[in-house]
Amino acid sequence: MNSNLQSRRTWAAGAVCFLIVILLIHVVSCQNSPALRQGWNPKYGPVVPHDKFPADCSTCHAGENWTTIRADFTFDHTAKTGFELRGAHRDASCLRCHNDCGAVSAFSSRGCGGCHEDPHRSRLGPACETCHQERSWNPTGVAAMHNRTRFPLLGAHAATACFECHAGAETGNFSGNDTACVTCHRTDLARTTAPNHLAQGWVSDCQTCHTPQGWDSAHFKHTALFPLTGGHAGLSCTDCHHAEVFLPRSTECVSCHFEDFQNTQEPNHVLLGFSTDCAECHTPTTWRSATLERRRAR
Amino acid sequence: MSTLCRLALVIVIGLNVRASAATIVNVAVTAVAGRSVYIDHGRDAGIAAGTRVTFTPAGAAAVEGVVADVSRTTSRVDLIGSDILPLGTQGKLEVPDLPAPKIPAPQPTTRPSAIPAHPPWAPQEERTPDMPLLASASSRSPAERPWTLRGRIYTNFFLTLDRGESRDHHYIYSRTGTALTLTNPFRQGGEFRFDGEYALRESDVGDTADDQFRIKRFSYTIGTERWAPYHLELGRFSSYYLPEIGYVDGVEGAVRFEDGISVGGGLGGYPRPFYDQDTGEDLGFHLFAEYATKDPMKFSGTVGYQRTWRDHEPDRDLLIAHASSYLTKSLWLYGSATLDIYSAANPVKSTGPEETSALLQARYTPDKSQGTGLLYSRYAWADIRGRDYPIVPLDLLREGRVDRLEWSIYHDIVTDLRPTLRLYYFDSDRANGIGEELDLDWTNIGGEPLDLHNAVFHSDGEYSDDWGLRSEANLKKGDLSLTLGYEFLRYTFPDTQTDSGASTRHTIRGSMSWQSGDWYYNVSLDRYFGDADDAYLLGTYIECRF
Repeated sequence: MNSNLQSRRTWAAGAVCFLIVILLIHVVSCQNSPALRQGWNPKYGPVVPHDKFPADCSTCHAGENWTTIRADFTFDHTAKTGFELRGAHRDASCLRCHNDCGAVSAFSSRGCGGCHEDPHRSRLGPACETCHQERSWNPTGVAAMHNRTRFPLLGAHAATACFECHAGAETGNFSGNDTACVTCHRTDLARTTAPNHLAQGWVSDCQTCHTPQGWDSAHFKHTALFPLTGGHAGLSCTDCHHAEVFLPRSTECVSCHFEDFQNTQEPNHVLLGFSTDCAECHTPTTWRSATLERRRAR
Repeated sequence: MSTLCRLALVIVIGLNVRASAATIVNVAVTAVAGRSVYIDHGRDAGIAAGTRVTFTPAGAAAVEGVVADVSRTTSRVDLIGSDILPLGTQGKLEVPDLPAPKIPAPQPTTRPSAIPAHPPWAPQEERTPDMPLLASASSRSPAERPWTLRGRIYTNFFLTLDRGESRDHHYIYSRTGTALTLTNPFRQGGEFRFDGEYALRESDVGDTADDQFRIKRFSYTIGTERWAPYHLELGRFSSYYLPEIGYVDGVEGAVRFEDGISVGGGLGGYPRPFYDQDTGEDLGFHLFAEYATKDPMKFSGTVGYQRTWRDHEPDRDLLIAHASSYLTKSLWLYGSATLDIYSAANPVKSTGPEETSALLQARYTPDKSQGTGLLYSRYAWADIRGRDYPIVPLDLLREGRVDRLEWSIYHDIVTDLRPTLRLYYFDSDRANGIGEELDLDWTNIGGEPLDLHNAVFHSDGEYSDDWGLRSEANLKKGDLSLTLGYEFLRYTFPDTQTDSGASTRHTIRGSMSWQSGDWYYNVSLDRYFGDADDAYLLGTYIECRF
C-alpha cells in the first residue's frame, strides 16, 4: 500500500471521527427538545384555515393556547388521504410538508422529484421506489434489477464495484455505457502478451474467446473442422500457430507434424513410403495408434 | 308522622331550590352568520342547547335568542325577531349551577367516541375549494418566523472481495457526508442548502485509489414558498425545472403566473456528471416554460432548451420536454424526452433534431389489489464534446441506440398474496433479447410482520442467457428489520466460441436494518459461490436525520 493511499485513509478516519463528534453534539442538543411527529412546531408557522378540519377544536388542541396539541393526537394518513406514508415519510413531522408554504400538491405532482433532487437527470424515470427504499436512499436489490437489463451481471461482473463500469456512478449517472467489453477493458487489452492481442488486431469482440468469468479462462472453442481433442487439448496456441500467426491453417496433420513424419525411425516412415495422411494410422490421442498395433500383429 | 312528613318535604323543597339555582354568564358576539350569531362561551361554561340568551346591543332594544349548537368553547345562537346584531354585542344567559365535580378515577386516555357537532365555521377570508387544505392565507411573514435547520448526516462503507476462478480482487467504496437545509436564515424566506461528502474508493482492478471531497449542492434560494411569484437559485444546484440537464454552477430563476404558467431560465457552467464533476468547461444557458393545471396532479408539463459552449465553441443544442398527468384517478402517464439538434457541420449525425433519450411510462391501478404498467425507454449517444458517457466507437455514436419495453401486471389472488408478471424486451443496434419474471409476494404471513418474496426469472441478454430462482424473507419487529434471501442462477454464453458451458451461481443475502429515533442503521452481506463465483459483498450504512 502506498503512502498516498495511507494518507487518504487517515483523512477518511478523520472524517469519520468528525462525523461522530457532530452526531454526538446533535444528539445531546436534541435531548431537551423532543419534537412530536404530529405535534405542533411554531417554527413552521400557523396552519390556516381550518375549514375542512373536524369541528371540535379539542380533537387536536389542548391547553390554554393554540400551539399545544393533544398528546394523544393521531392522524391516519392512509385512511384519510389514500396515500400511505412509509419509511422516513412515516416518521417525518407532518408540518415538514403541510405548512404555510403552500399546497403540497405543488410538490407531490412532481413525484419524488418535487421534494428530492433527481441526480439521475430523469434518465431512470420518476419511480425512485424501484431502486430506493423510503426508509433511506440506500439502494437495494440492484443486482437483481441489473439482471433485467441487456447486460446481466455474471461472473466477475457480479462482484464488481459500480464505479468500475459506470464512470458517473458516484454522481448518479448510470447512462451511456457501451456494453462492448473493450469499453471497460481497454487496459486489459493493451497489456495482453500471450498472445499479443493488439499485434493480432484483436481489438473488439472479446466475447468470441472470453467469458465474464475471467480473462484467464479463455477456453477458445476451436472450429468444428479441427476440434482440439487428445494430444491437441493441452497445447499452447502458439505450438501450432507459430509466431502468433492465428490465421486459419491446414487441418492436415502433416502440416504441423512433417518433422515428426521425417524423423520417425520405428518404423522409418520415409523409407517405407508411408502416406503423409497420418490419420490412416494415428489418432489425435497418441502416435502409437491401435491401427498400427493391428498391422504389427499381422 | 305528620312532623316527619313535613320535615322531609322541607328537605326535598330545599334541595330542589338548591338544584335549580342558576349562574349568570356574560357573553359576547364573536361572529355573525345570517340569523345566527356565535358567542364566546360554550360547554365549558355550562351552556346547553335550548338556553335562552338576552343580548343588549348598545342604543337598541334587547334581542332574545336561543342556543342552537354548542362546542366546548363557543355556541351558536339563533336570534328571535332580529336580523342584525353587531360583533361584540354583550349578552347574558343563565346556566344552572354545576354539581360539585367528582374526582374521576384515573383512566387511560381515550379519544371521544363521537365528536360533538360544532356550528359551521364562518369563512374568515376568500378562498376557493381547490385551495390547499393547509393554506397560507394568513401565515406569518418570513420576518416573524425563526430560522430552521434540518438535514441528515450519513456514512456508508462497501467492501467487495472477489476470488472466483483465477480472480483475486477487492473494491472499497465509502462516503461520509451531510445534507443541510437552513431555512429563513436572513428572515426573508430564503433557503440555504448544502450537500457535500467525502468519498474514498479503491480497486485493484483498475488500480484506482483516490479520495475526494465533493460538493453536490451549495446554493441559496429565494421564493421557496410554493405560491411565491418568483423563484431564484444561486450557486451549485440541480435544476428544479429541467432535471435532465443535471447540475448547474450558476443561477436559475423563474416567474410564476397565477394561471399555472412559469417561465424562466438559467446560465452558468454545467458540471460533468462524472466522479470529478469537472466544471467550467461547459458554459451556457437554459430556458424553460412550465404549465400546471390548478390541480397539478392532473397535468403538469415543461419544455426547455439548453445551449452550451465548450472551450468557447458551440457544442450542444438540446430540446427538453417532460410531462406528467393523472388522466383519471387510476391512470397515470409520464413522459420525458431530449432531442439534440445537429448542424450541417456535424460529421457524424445527420442534420436536424435527433432523439437522444426518451422515457414513456403508463400505470393503471384501478384499486390497491391490481395494476399494470408499461415502460418504454430509448437511449442514443449524443455527438457532443461535453458528453455524459465514456468514449465509445464511432459506429455507436453514429447508429447506436437501445430501445427497451417493459410490461408488468399484478393482481392479488387473496389479501396479502400478490403475483406479478414482468416481461421486458430490448432492441439495440447490435442485438435484441427478451426477459420474463414471475414474482410472488406473500405479506403478513400468519398475521405476523413477515413477508416472503419469491421469483422465477429468465433473461436473454446481449451476451448471455440465464434463468434462476429467488426467494427472500423479510421480518419486521418494531424498528428492526431482518432480511434473508437465496438466489439460484444458471447461465451460459451461447454466442461465444468457448467451451465454458453452463455455470451455476448461488447467492445468499442477509441484511439487518434498525431504526432508533432519528438514527438508521443497515448492514448487509452477500455471498456468491458456484462454478465461477466466490465473493463476499459487505455493506454498512448509518444515517441520522434531524
